[in-house]
Amino acid sequence: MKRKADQFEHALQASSPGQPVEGPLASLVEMAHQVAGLSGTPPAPPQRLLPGRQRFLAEASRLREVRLRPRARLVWTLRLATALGVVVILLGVLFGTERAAADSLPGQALYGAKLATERIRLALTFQPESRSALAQALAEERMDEILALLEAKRGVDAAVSGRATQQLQQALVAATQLDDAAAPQALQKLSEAIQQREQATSSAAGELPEAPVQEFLREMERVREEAHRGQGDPEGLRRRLRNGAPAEPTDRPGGTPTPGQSPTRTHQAPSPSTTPGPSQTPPGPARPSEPPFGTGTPAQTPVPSMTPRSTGEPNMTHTPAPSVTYQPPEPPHGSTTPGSTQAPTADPPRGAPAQTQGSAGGGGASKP
Amino acid sequence: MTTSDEQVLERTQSYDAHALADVYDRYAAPIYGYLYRLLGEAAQAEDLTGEVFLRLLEVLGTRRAPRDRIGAWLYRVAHNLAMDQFRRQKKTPAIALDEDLVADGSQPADLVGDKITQQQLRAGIRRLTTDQQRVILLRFAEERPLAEVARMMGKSEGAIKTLQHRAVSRLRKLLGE
Repeated sequence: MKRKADQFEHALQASSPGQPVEGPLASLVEMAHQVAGLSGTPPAPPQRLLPGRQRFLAEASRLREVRLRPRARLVWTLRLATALGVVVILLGVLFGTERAAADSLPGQALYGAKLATERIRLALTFQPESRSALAQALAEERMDEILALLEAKRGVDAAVSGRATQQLQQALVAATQLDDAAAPQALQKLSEAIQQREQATSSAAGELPEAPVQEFLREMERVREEAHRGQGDPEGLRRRLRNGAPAEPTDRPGGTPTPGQSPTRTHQAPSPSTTPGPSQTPPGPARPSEPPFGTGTPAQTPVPSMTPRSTGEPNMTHTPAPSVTYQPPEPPHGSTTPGSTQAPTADPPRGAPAQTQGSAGGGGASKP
Repeated sequence: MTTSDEQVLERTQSYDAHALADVYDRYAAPIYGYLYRLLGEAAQAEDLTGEVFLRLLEVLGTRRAPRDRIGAWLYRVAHNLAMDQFRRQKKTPAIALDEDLVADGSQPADLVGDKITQQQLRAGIRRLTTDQQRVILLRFAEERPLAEVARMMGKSEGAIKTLQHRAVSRLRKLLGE
């Protein structure tokens, strides 16, 4: 068959239309020539193929819109979904970490993440009301952390107490930045929040007396006093904080205790510059005051269990928290001598001894 | 297929207007001629030519789209459409009185006689197999070289030789009946 096909092709090539064909394949070649009669130029299409062209291009345009637009939309939708998925995963990781870190305590792995999250939240809070509320919430968190550490019989070092002191001061400052209508309420809340924790902290610290804890207890009392006093005179508190004035003394021997004051005042240790005296040792049922700086005599260490700490590191009890920097207090008029027991001013602060050391100072300038 | 054709085909996948216009302008007239030789009806051939290109649009972007030889694809679709047309008519179409009958200077009687012969030829061709019809039309009516027909039909030249020999033999028998 292949041979015949080749012969036929050969005969076709050798022949031409109109010429006689000979041989066994002549009839087939003539048939092929007859078919070639169809090869003339076909008549021009009636409408020159133009309607077909227009219809073709119009349909192409329509299909381009119908088929490619959804595809492009799908591509963008997929990209958007991918981006959203990544964001959701990242947020999930961040949120999960934040949740996991929320209950962490100083010294634990996630505590740094907790502090970082708090710093971010504080940095992103601009409204004075929100900022004050957040600062107070963080101060309460710091106090709760210290309480938790104490209850767990874990140590509270100077960094932890300093951080908590700084947060208390920050809450105090934030409250004074509210207007006169809102500031007293915020200060009252702060005062109450501190008061609620003072007793428990004091009790827990009584079992584990440490210098930073004692310092922090004094700071709690100082800030609470400031907040309480500021409720009636927010502007005065603002002025004191602005001027970097020290907090007014919290020890007011013989004075009437501020409503809401807890017995933690009895744990108040004198500042290094404070001259010890009878007036500075308020009667306290729970614990006597620590001995003054450098006077760790046995007679002044009534509780044996506290002796090693109070005598071993007496100066630590009077060292301000390292992370908090207060403005140096302006000495009261006439009290230029460190250690003077009373500022001879016309309006002494309710008989309280003047504190010239910044340890108890309530300056508003807290280092972040 | 040349590189240019490949590029054009690639652009048609995204319904590029210029590429599609290029395809139409390049292949519409040959497809029309092919259909005319098969159908013998200018208007019908023109309509089916438009239909061929619409079919192209339908398959673009799908697995049925032409991958390399767009011309071969168009001829195949044109042929199938013509066969569908024949099946719908179910009878030999009437002799068309087209422009040739009056435009040519030949005697009307001879023209009608030629026409009948051509209609007989077409009727015989339509009784062949699809491949035989295509090889007859491409090889003899359109006088395409063997190699080009082989390329268009996706077969070897030897296969085309065999196919055309069988097609002509069968056609001769059909017309001799």
